[in-house]
Amino acid sequence: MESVRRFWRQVGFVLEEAVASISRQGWMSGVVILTMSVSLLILGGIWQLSDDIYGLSRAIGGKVEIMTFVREGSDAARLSAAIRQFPGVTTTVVITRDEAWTQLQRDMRSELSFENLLDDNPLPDTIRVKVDGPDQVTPVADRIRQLDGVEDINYGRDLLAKLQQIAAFIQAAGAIIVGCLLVATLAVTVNTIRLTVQTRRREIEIMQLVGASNGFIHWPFLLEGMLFGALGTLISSPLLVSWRTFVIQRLQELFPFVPIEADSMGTVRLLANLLLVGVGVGALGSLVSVKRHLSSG
Amino acid sequence: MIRLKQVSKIYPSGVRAVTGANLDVEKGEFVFLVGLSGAGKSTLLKLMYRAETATSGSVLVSGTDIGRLSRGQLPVLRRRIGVVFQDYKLLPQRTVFENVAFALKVLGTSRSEVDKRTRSALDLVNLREYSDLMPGQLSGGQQQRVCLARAIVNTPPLLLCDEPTGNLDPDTSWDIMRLLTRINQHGTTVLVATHNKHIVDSMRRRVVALDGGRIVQDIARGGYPVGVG
Ligand SMILES: Nc1ncnc2c1ncn2[C@@H]1O[C@H](COP(=O)(O)OP(=O)(O)OP(=O)(O)O)[C@@H](O)[C@H]1O
Ligand SMILES: [Mg+2]
Repeated sequence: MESVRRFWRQVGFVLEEAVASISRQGWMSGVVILTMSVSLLILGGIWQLSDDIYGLSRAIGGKVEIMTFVREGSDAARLSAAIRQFPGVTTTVVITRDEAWTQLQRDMRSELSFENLLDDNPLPDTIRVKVDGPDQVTPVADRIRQLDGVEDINYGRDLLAKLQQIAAFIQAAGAIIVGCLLVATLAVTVNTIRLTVQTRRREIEIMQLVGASNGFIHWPFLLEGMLFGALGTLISSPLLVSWRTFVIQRLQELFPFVPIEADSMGTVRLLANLLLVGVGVGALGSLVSVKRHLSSG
Repeated sequence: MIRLKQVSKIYPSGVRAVTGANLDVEKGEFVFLVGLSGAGKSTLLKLMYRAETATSGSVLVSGTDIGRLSRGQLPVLRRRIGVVFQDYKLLPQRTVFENVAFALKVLGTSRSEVDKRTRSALDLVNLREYSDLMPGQLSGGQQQRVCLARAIVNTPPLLLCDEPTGNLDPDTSWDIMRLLTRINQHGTTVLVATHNKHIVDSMRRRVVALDGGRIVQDIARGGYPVGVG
């Protein structure tokens, strides 16, 4: 019982110390927090940019529809119902050859008059198939092709392949860049936090001298590092939010036909991730600094 | 309390700081360690609280061979030993009270206990009314008394002092020695490394003399040895 109480008193002491030490170290803490926030800003900015571009490429891919042309004499409605059962299919719409013909004539009227040229409707019944996401397009298309009564399909295979390549590239490149930035952020953090460990050499020495356990000695620094990370994230957050808004606007201008939603959930997720990274990097950074100090001393 | 058996210390640089030292200190004793600069006094003390480890031989504190303590067991030893330094080693950004309380707080002592013990330690060294000052606002002698208060606040059975009066004038030095005597009278074993011939001569305590890393003299009620320092 007493050992439990002792433990909580030590936790309280550590918390007090971490907060007090940040204010006691004044400008030094400022330097650490600013360095971390700049690092996190770059990291977060690029992370989110690659995320949004990836999302965009998928959104474009998601726009792809599979146009299924029905063989003459087959039942378009029955085919449509069958296709709707396929996994990955969201909607199917039947456009009868008459509707298509009317539509085509309406579209073309201003440019060229068909009316006398073609009396006979050359179009087949068509089923417009929408799928869940770009990954579903090819497998669904392959299944549709096997169906009896399907004359032909068309789904912009080349465009889709390109888009998938681009998306994969962005995802990979983004991961690599973010990974590198993470390492860089950690390095910067270790080096700045080392300054604060240096200035607290004597404190560490005294703690060891009066018999604080080694684990206990780490805690104030660990917490301080986490606080540095949290404050760094806090500072970089508003800038990141405006950066994301800006990026999304730009992307929307470039691709007006794809609806890009700057969902607040995405922003929240980004900031939460960044907070996690900030706190984690801060904790790791100070742990590394203290470990180095203890093993060298 | 302390037993050294054939203890030698060779620093990585190759310096032989202590050679073949044998020493027995009983519980409650007051011992001076004297010798020229570089004789190995500080090294001997450091071996006792394991700031350094012996190259050979064994150092026993309360029957425990401290050379065999693991990293995890070291804090337990340290809690039983108070250390006072020539340069005080106070934390400059904490008040006098906080400096002393620090030693208790890192061990998870309860708040009321911290307050009580810190106050009585500061009472003992006569610095109660300086509680809220910063170390920088104190004289050398006062800072040394804070260091002393911190060393004894956890009531360790053993107190090691490395030239506690090294930076102090004679009057202030005597203040510190009187305090150490008082602490010793409470049952604490006290070891003091010093150059202060006058104090050693007047106190007539046990004197252990070092020369070139060897213990060359050990006198029960001695003075500062002739030909040393
Ligand atoms: N950390 C160290 N590394 C290498 N050599 C050391 C170290 N500490 C002390 N020495 C050497 O060991 C010898 C004994 O030093 P020590 O500090 O124990 O002497 P001392 O008796 O305390 O001297 P002083 O009276 O000047 O404090 C000296 O030659 C010193 O140079
Ligand atoms: Mg010395």
